[in-house]
Amino acid sequence: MKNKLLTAALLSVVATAATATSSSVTTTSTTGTLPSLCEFSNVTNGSMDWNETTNVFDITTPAEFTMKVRDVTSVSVTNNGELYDVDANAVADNLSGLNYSGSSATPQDNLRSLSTTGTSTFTINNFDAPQYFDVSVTHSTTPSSTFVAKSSTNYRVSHTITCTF
Amino acid sequence: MHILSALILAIIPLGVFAHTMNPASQKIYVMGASTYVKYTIENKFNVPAVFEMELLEKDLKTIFTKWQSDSKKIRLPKGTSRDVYLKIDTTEERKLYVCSKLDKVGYDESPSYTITRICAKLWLKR
Repeated sequence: MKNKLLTAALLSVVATAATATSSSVTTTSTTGTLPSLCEFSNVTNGSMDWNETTNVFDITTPAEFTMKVRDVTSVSVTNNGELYDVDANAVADNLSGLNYSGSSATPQDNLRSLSTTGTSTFTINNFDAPQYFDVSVTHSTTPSSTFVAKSSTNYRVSHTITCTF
Repeated sequence: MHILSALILAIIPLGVFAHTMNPASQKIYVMGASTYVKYTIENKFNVPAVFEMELLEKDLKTIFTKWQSDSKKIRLPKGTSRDVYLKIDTTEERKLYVCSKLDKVGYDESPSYTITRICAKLWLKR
């Protein structure tokens, strides 16, 4: 009986001591000065089909890529109005229009959101923090009315992705 | 309906692709008729690349031409950087964007269809 009382008393002391000394700890890190950042990865080529009836290249698979940015005010996707053949030569007939409707930018962090605007130039902004986000580029491409497609030929549109700090 | 396939957003080997330019946005007080400004361009692509400098007015569209540099075309092996000095006319106050743009990629310097461009604000204040 005496031993049981002693054991109980000791447990009580240990419990009291544990309660009295419990505390939270934190691990901290302060980053150094980091440079502005704009890089992209996971590039997947898109594809489009030529519709001779409507004289439009329609997207069948959007081009996609991932961007990692810090201290960027906007990112835009645009083009130079040229259509290229497989040898990287601009064809004589420029594009009469390229519409980026349907393109999207999705933050990988679900808590964030980005706004997108524009059709002739697709612009992404409202960056509230450094982040990763996924871009899907879809567009309809209309050559000039004088364009006649060559048979079995690859055509390409060049896109410029601009990060603005 | 005759259908031809076409590729967009070609053709750079997979991986992380980027180039960087520093400093970012800056405001400089100027007095003389011209001012030198330094930018550092880094090739973070996994292939050699050629970049070109471009100066635009604050609308990000109008080309600004009153500047000079020995390095309008910048050839960089992968993973390397270079300082570029721009001599800019400052006979009046300027609000500009200084851009570095990917021009060619690879050992054969083939045209890039996916063009990265980094633009930093530059306010030359009098």
